[in-house]
Amino acid sequence: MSNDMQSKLGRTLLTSMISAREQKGDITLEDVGGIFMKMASTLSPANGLVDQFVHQEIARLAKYITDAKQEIFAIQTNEKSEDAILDASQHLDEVIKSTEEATNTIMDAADAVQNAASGVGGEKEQQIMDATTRIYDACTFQDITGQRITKVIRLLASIEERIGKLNDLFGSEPPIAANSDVNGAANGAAKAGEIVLPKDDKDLLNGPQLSGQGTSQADIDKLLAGL
Amino acid sequence: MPVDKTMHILVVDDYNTMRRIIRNLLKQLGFDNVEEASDGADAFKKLQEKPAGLVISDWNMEPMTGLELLKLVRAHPTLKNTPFIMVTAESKPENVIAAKQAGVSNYIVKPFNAETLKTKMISVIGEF
Repeated sequence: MSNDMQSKLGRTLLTSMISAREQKGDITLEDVGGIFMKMASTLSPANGLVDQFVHQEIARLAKYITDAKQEIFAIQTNEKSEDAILDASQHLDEVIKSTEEATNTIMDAADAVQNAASGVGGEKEQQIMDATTRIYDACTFQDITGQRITKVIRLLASIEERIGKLNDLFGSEPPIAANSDVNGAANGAAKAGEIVLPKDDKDLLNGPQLSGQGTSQADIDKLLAGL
Repeated sequence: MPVDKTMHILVVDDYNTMRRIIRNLLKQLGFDNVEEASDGADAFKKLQEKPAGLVISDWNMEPMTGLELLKLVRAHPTLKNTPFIMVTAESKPENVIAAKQAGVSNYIVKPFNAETLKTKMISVIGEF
């Protein structure tokens, strides 16, 4: 690239950034993308291979920034993924609670077995005591899995924080071509209360619902009876 | 006609502990002729080799889900009338509707107890 070319690009970049700063008070990555596009427009592929190359690279960089913003914005506004991280953390909390409850039930039952076995005497009593001891030992899994899951919950919180920071970096205005309504567009507008089946069976794989949010067996029985 | 408790039942779930639990419940109800499969593909292969009087299947499995297994069973010339109970954590109304449209005989949402399993089995295969 010639010295004249460098000076021209540098002046354009500097002028544009100063202007953006004066107008908006701060510059986001989207602004930088726009500046790159402006710089690309000052180049002419007709001026030679260097101009053409730089023009293409700058345009590619600007598009990359725009695409990245669309991806970040889609994470923040897509109805399914907006709460995905929070949902995942809640599910993991439920895992810890339910494994704790189940573990207590198992140990209660083991206690009952030990109490019933006490007085049996002999080898039988010893065999039963040994077996219940193994049950208690195995129940320590709950503590270990709880610690592992807590680590994952903290990791998810950290990821959510980083996504928030990235979104701040790109600015709060949505990109022009954002397409956040993935499932809604696929299924069409549904009337209030209407159950719309997704087009792909894979979208039926939601897993267990959080406590208080699932459909009870009684409600499922009513629904089946009405079909 | 009373239910033959020697009937062959296929239990399908990718979680070994769940298969063990259902097998134990079936044993308590008097059904000992129980085979297990770890996913839909494994189950369909086994059904083709040995048809079952009842299939009790989870939904969320890989590489083949319980819904896909159900559709295959209902499309198969000799297996299409096999009683099929879905036992799953998938509890949204859309899931129930999709399963019903695919031909499920009954639907149990996890967690469930022995009494629920018995009630649904009776509704599908008759009193026992």
